[in-house]
Amino acid sequence: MQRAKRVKKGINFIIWSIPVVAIVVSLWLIYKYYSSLGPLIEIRFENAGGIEPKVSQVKFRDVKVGVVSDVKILKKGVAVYVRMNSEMKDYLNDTTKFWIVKPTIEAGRVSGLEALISGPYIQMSAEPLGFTKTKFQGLEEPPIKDIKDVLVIKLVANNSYGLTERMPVYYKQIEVGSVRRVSLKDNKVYIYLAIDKKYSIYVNDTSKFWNLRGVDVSFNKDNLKVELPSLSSLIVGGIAFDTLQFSAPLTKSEFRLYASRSDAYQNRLGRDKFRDVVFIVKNNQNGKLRVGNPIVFRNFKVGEITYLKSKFDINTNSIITTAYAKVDESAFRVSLEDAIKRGLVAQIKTTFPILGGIGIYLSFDKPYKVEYFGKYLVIPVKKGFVENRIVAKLSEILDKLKNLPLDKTISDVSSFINNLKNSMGSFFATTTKTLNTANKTLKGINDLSSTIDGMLKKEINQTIDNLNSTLLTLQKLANSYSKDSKTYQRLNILIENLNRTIKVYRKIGKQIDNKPNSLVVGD
Amino acid sequence: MYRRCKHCNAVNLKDSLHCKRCGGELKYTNNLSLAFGIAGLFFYIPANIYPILISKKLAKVYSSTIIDGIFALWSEGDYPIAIIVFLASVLIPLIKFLIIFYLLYSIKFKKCEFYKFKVSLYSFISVSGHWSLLDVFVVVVLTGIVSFKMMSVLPGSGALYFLIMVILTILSVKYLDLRELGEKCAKSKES
Repeated sequence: MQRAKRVKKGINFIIWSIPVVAIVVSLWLIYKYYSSLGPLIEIRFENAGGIEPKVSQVKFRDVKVGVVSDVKILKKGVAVYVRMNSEMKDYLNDTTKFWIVKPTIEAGRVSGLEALISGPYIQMSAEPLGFTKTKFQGLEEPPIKDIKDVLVIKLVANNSYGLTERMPVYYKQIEVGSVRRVSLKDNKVYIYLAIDKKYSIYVNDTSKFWNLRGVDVSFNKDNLKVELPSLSSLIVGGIAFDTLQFSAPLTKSEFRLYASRSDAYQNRLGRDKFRDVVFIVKNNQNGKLRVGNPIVFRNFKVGEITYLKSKFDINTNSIITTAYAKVDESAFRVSLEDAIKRGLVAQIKTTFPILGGIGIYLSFDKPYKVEYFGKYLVIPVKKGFVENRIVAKLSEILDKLKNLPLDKTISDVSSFINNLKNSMGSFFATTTKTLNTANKTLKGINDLSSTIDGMLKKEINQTIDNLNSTLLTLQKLANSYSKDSKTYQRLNILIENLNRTIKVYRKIGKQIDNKPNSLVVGD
Repeated sequence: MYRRCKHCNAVNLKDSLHCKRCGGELKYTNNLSLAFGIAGLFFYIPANIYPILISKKLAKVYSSTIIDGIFALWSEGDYPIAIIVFLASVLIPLIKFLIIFYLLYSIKFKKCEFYKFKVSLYSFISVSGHWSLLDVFVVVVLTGIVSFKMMSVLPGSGALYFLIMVILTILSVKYLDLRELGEKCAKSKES
């Protein structure tokens, strides 16, 4: 009996250990489940961007730290509820930022590829400063300052030049960063760049930034220079910068973005502190004014015309043009009001003859009264139009020159030079004769010029001086050709090469005309 | 009156303590049933809060508990299936626990009211017992069928707890001995 009792007791113990074990295990499982549950947080977005409840994840430093549990539509935007992991509690505070990562394909680059497969997810960035918040406002764009290991540079420009996010930034043709954001604020374009930390030493106060896309054509007295960016940057676009002094400090908080390299390194007078002004122009050359025509102060371009408005006044039988323009105030070192008080005045003149247009030339004269047209400052305009006759003639000649078939001329020149060596002797004699005649003519012109008004005379004298020196140079050149055939041969080769290049360019030009996409896609 | 031995089915006299054929104990005991019942009830909770199904589509991982699955089916308009899953996986196990504990309570305290109803309740839980394995069955079948590179289904830990819960209730029903109540009630009717 006793044995049976003991056995029974043992059986009872086994029986009752079943629910005890079950209770312990299930309680432990329940505890484990609820302890792993972090706080349920609410993030508001303007749109959910493809976030799915139960599927979409929240990632922090590329680690899954939460799952979207629900998405609700509010009156304005959506509320995304996220069950965070409990170890992320300390990261939920004012420093926490959330944004949705979507796959994006843009010119030249693809980003968020993982989001293409896994669907969009929420990216999080935060500092471990304790658990204080459960409601957050999600960002529509990734924050700029939170990207690690980059130097953020702010650029200001008047135009975005078609720059968009993720476009590359080059330094000496090496990609050193990318455009992070382009935003429009107060009628100015702000562009934020992220430069890799290891290249950040190349950015300092002497750096200049310019837009890469676009052909840089600079035309000046010495040479015509066409700078083509690499084909990829022509298609992709981007920003380049260069630094004058390598070791200068970085104190500037924002930089200017120039339209092109030549624009960045142009000899400029002011610091582009533009101010809107008005010129009220009354003369019969008003019709030649164009938006974009320059405002020139002692050969420096200090502004341009931005808007034109004309009306005809029957009483005075004249056209009054109100030319709105922006003028670089910093060019004069004083405010424009002070400059007018000290005699700043405008005059309409013919600009460079090749361009054919007219421009507004600023100069200092007798003091004027400061007036306003609406909220715009009025810069006084001298009456009359200065049209330099010689300049006008010259422009006519240049017009004709422009119409000449250039490549034909070049081939003519090349054949001419071929014949040059043979006929050099006779040519030289003729040249001497011509020079003599020219000298005589010049004397005649000199006499004539005394009768023309002073300014014209000055101009002519200058031109004659120039002509003289040119002729002298020609003479020297002719001498050198006859003396040294090597230079002549080199010139010949150069011209031939030039000819060939022009032919190639014409071919390319035709090709682009016919199939503009063939450059990119291939034929 | 006689008492059937639960081990060898030999018919013994009611008052004897041990079976005359196999020597097994003739006393009714529902302790094991109660023990399994309590154990099963406690596994009901993790079975419902842990995911029973983890499906992987490409890089998407979707883990769903029983309740999630029912809501998903309901929101997609599969109302009959949602109802069936809800009945088989949520409601019936819960009702079974209630019935088991009600019957055990009746046996312990000799509650003879609705005796016939209690008998039909007993037959209901002993028949419906294994139908609760439907969920586990579905998970196992899906795991077997859906196993590709791009998409696969894995059983979640909830499935295991659910299985344990169902087995424990089946065992609990198996060890539930309603004869004691019948004997007691017959006795009270006689007297």
